[in-house]
Amino acid sequence: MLPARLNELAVIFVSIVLQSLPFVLVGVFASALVQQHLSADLVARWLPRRRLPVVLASSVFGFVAPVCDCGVIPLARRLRAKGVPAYAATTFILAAPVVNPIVLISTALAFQGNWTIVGLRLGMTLTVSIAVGLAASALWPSASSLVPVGPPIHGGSDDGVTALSGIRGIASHATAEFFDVIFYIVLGALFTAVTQTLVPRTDLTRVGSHPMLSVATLMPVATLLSICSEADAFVARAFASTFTVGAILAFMTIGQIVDLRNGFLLVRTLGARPAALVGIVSYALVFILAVLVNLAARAL
Amino acid sequence: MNARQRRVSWLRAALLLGFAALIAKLFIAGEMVKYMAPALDPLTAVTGVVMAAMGVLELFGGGSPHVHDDEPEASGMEHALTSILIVVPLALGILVTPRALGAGALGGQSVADLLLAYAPGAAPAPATRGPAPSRPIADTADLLAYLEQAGIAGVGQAVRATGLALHDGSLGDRELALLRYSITHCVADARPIALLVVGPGDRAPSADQWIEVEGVLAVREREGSQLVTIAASRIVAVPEPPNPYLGAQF
Repeated sequence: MLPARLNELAVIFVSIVLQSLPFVLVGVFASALVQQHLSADLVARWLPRRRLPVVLASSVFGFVAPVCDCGVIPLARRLRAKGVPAYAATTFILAAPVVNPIVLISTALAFQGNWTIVGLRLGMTLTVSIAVGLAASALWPSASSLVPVGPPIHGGSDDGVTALSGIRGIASHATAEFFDVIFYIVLGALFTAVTQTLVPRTDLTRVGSHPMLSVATLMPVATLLSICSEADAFVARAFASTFTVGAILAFMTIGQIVDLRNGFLLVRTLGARPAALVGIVSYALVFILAVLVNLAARAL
Repeated sequence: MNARQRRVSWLRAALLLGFAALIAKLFIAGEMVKYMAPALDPLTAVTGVVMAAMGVLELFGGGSPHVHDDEPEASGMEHALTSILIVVPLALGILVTPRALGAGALGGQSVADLLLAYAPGAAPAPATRGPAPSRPIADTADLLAYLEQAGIAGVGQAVRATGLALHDGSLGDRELALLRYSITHCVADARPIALLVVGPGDRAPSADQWIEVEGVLAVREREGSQLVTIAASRIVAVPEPPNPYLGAQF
């Protein structure tokens, strides 16, 4: 029999993994459907040509292509290759992991149907992604900073695909996607379980109730944890009793924009300077927005 | 498919089937309630079935492709690291017999901060009786539901409640706290709820022991709060209940 603290750690760790699995599955199957059936040519044809409409459309494009942060960069590279401007692809990379129905529903489930949290998460992510997209469009209006793409994107054509092979293909892509993300889900669950078990809750509460300190504490945690957008709300929910609402929102927003897991890929995709702009502007904006939410919550 | 790809495919199939086996084991052994709220059982069961199907397809369907075509394929070391990390929760879930969270999970929180209090307001007149409960109050969930309905007017109502015995320096002589956790989805979001109990004698139950308390609802004033109190006539040690957690409504 494990000692009490070790048992507690094991139970919390396994429970977070178990709880995340259904939503990770929803995400990887949605991603596999996009991979299989959505043509990048079609996507590029729908996109407007002027800057502001392009940025706005890119920020909500996750509703059409609901990919999580694990699949967004490869898709963005393909879209760029089909003529989508770099700043639009950047906006899409920042927004799509959160601004999509799957993640918004999983956030609502994690927070027991609290649509205020869902709305604030959506609003914060849109604000940051649109601001960064517009900044990028002003700084590099005709930048082709996205590196040349590799082989053509698979999927988007049903020619010669039987129903059985189609299902098998979706399952295969979903399995591959699952193993691309599950490592980080398990790592995040372990980190959270260790934090919950070993860090005295009184210490967390002391930091967590401060309007600025709580935000400054949870933002780097989100970057380090690099939790998939389909599951991060459930981890954030575990912090909800000890941290301010602004800190929780900052955790769920910055974790999908600046994280260790995608950091290297983002630098490789956007280039060092645009990636640095994305990181710095996003961190500053999320921090300011989260503190404003905390101050507003206190005033109410 | 070459030999290396086949090995990766078998490994993935084994891990997927491992997750399905873990979910099946927890349901069969009645241990799922130690991890997850029962409301999520159907979703978890479907997850197990889907993962089993994915495992079988991976085993016999020729393997999954690399998702990101433009990235270098993961090395053998990356596959090994991923597999080792994934095996940890699988092994823990399958091999460890889970126990419910105890007082240690409070993480140093003071019991005084957790004690349930009546909503602020005037105490009821002595002759006032609270509404009768819709059914006998036989457990903590019934008691909390009744308190939501009756508030301080429920004082004097006969009750029975189960929970973990908790002692703390902030409690007086013959006082103890009855601790339960409520969970929304899983134990990671557990919230502690404590009720003040005034014991019938000087012999207090040991800490972290599951106990059943019988008595009547009462009220004790402390630092401006009117604490929900059970004036106990009987306290007995009991085994951990099958579902040790309360639902999200509390």
